[in-house]
Amino acid sequence: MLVETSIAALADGEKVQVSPGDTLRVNYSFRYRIAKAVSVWASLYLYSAGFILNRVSGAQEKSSITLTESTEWQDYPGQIDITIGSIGAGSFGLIVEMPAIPGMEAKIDDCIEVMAAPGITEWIEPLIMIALMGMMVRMMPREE
Amino acid sequence: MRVEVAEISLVGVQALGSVAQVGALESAAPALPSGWYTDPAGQRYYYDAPSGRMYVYSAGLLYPLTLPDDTVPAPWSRLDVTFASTVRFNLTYKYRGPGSKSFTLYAAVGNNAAGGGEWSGYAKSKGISPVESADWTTISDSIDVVMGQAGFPTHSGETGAVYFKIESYKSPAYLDALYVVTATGEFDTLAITNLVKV
Repeated sequence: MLVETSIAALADGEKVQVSPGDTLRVNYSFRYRIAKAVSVWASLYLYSAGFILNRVSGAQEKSSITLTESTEWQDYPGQIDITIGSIGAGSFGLIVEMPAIPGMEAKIDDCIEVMAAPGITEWIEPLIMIALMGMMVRMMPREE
Repeated sequence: MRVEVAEISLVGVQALGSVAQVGALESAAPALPSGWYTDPAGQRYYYDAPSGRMYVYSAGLLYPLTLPDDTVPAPWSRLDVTFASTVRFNLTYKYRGPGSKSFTLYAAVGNNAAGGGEWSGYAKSKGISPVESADWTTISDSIDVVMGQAGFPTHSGETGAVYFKIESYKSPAYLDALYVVTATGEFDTLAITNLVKV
């Protein structure tokens, strides 16, 4: 199921909830002229030491775009899919950037909530409970 | 009859270049070394490669090529040009004098300031022969200037001024006349528009 979140909602503090294995499609746009190609990266990130932006390699996608050459400014709408890998749960920012072009980046802090992957204890606990209940039922005295 | 030239005025501009020229010349061009160079008319110049400045040699001295100190805004909104493209400047000048005289019309682009240095490779000369006129006559002309030449600094991403001269008579420097678009391309307003959980 597609769940779309607008940039306005993100700006208002809404978070997109994802889990490892999910794909997050990031729609973006920019203007250009003359250029024939450009690389666009999209990554989840965390701040360390309060201000150092660390891109999370397990939730990052890199793409190369071929552009139609033009001397006039052109609008380019693009999209890039990030597959959420096995990264820890928590709140992440999202950055879209052109690494070769200084200053060309767009980012939103704390807009992605990565949920914890279901661990073995999370699905085995109910089974143990069921097994215990079964044993208790067997141990109950039967009326002859 | 005395020769007089006055009021060189820029009246228009036209970009003649094509995007296809961008890049190829720039990447293939080895930088020119410092040294003496001579134009087709026999004028000698000294080119200082580290500064990218050209000096004209006259009577045993070197003079830096600079734009005039008086400036006016260009009569158009800044023209975007690409390296090695051609721009046609349409201009008028006033002349009175004999008809048998030949002059040199010179156009050059330079730093966007009064007295700014000319950009090497961004200049052009051509011969003109105005008709005889006893009274001041306004003459229309044009000059095509190639925006940069192989081996010289490209000035990509810079705004330039332009001026003209006929012999020693100079036009003012027209500020904000043109902008050299970066050959590798320019980008702006990168924005995330929305997110979709697929």
